[in-house]
Amino acid sequence: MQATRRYWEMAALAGFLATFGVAIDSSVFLLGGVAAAAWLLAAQYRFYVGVRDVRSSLDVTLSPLRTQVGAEEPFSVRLTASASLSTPCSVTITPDSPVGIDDPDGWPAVSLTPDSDSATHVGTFRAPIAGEFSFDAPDVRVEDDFGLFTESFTQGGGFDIRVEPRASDKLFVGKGGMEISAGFGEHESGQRGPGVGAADLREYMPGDDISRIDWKATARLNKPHIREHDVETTREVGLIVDERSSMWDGPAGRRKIDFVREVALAFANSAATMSDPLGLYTVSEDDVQSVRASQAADVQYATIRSLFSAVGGSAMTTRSGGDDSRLSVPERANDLRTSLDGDSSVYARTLRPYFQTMHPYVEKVESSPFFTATRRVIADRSENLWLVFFTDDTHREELLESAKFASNRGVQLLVFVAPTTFFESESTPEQSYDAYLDFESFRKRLDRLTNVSAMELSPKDKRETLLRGSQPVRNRQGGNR
Amino acid sequence: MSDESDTAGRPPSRSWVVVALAGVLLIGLTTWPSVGFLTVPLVGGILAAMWYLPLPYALSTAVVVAVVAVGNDASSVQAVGVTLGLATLVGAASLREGTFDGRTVAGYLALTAGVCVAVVVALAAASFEAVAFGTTLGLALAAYGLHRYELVALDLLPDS
Repeated sequence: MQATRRYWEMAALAGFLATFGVAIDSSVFLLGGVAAAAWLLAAQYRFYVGVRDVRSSLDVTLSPLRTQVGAEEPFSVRLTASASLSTPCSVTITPDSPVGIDDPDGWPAVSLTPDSDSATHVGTFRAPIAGEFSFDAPDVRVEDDFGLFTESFTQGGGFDIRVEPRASDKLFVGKGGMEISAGFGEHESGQRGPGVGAADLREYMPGDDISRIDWKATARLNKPHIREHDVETTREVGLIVDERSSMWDGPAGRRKIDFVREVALAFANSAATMSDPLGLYTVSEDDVQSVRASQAADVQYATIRSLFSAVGGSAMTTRSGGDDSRLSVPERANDLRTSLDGDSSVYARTLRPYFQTMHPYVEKVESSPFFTATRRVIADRSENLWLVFFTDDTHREELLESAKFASNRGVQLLVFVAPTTFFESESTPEQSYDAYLDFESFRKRLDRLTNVSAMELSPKDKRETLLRGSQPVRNRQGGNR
Repeated sequence: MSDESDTAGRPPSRSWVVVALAGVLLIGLTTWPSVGFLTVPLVGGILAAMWYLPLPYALSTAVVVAVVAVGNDASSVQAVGVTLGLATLVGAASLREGTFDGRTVAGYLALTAGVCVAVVVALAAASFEAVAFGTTLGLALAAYGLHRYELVALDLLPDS
């Protein structure tokens, strides 16, 4: 129990009576202090009895009216509480909404008193981002009538709610201006054999398993026949999600990582529906983190979904700032070093030593976390691996080398790349358009690799605005040529 | 006829009057030898304080009034009697407000009586300062012990 300020005031009063009794040698004052302190002790015991009653009799239920909702869709939660309170105290119950869930109406505290011992409230919440969220058990606060003590604890149970990504109208996924509605779906093996879906009948051949004979067809056709079925395979899906600082560009809720998460969650859900083994590798600044083995288990899907929800719920706001991380690309760094060669200014003299100690290109790429993740996934791969990258165009050489590495090893690779230009606020339309052209040529370069399909992942409205606004720029560029 | 649920949670409405009368009687009997008929306005003033002031500010005011009336050299019996009388009035006020039930009031009076007797006995053998210090320490430890007991008994300790 927590003592309130009023309790300490009264305790001080009792102490003052006793101290004053000592000062003037008065036993009545001392015993008066004893009586006051004993009264506080009795009030404390009474409060203990009250809290004990609440703990034993309070029945709290917090439940959603639906367990699966869409992002940005309001959902209702019902809180029901009842208790038999024998002591005069007030009980307030408040649900604790998790980070990432908005409470637009402001949930009022549900109160119980000895006169009103049950209450129900239905409140509305909203999740702006997709993911899996856990509502903890509601907070219960007990306060005595004197205002001397309070006690807080959680009681009852919480619940999990899954917020599905919306079929977003603000998300563009496509290549070369062609938008796709779904980049994944049912995968067929193209083979025949034992399975579930009936495909064809064929005559029995020596060596076929007798148990595969279709007896009805055999009776009908007078010769033993075997019914072939479509062979259903599982395709292992390996997701590599870039979580480095450049992925956090953009305003809250419209960062690269927010768009990436929507698509990645759709992949996770799709894999769960198809019972495909699913692995998630997240790439941070220094290392590959949160590595999950590829296992087709419900707990695996749940873990990966919760990892995605943690990605967006993080309060990470720092980024590489104004530093142009494209300087890390050796080709560009080499260009800059060359341009500094004939320069004798202080600026050039300061920068030159950094370029002289530059690591060799291959060593640099191979030690990069994204490449490491790619190598690790492919090393652990099964026969039928589908590798999916979620990243941006900041670390282009690294991405290109990783894609080449996968391509050379015959791995089917799908790359989702977010163009940085759509997440920058300080560039002019001309600069943005040029940057987008640069991005598009890079995407095409990726897309031309064998077994590689590169998709643009960008905010639809910004993309449309840029392309619509770029008409005069294109005309001007055309006129100059 | 009183409602059964009401009697289970709260004492009968007139029980506090009986307790208050016992307190008045106790204060009157113990202060009569010192102040005589002045006992009547003394008890009236204490009752007014109990009625209007929040507890235990009323108790503190009543203690000051009682000390002024009986003087600083009251005997041990008088001191214990006055204190128990005041505690009984506080108990009656708690019953009237419905914040304590009869059992808690009885426990409060028993605790007060026990500590008062212990203090008086200890004063015969130890100095005033030592007894005051020991009493304060004992009551503070009791309060802290109850706090810890509550945490353990009701499983309110935070997970570490």
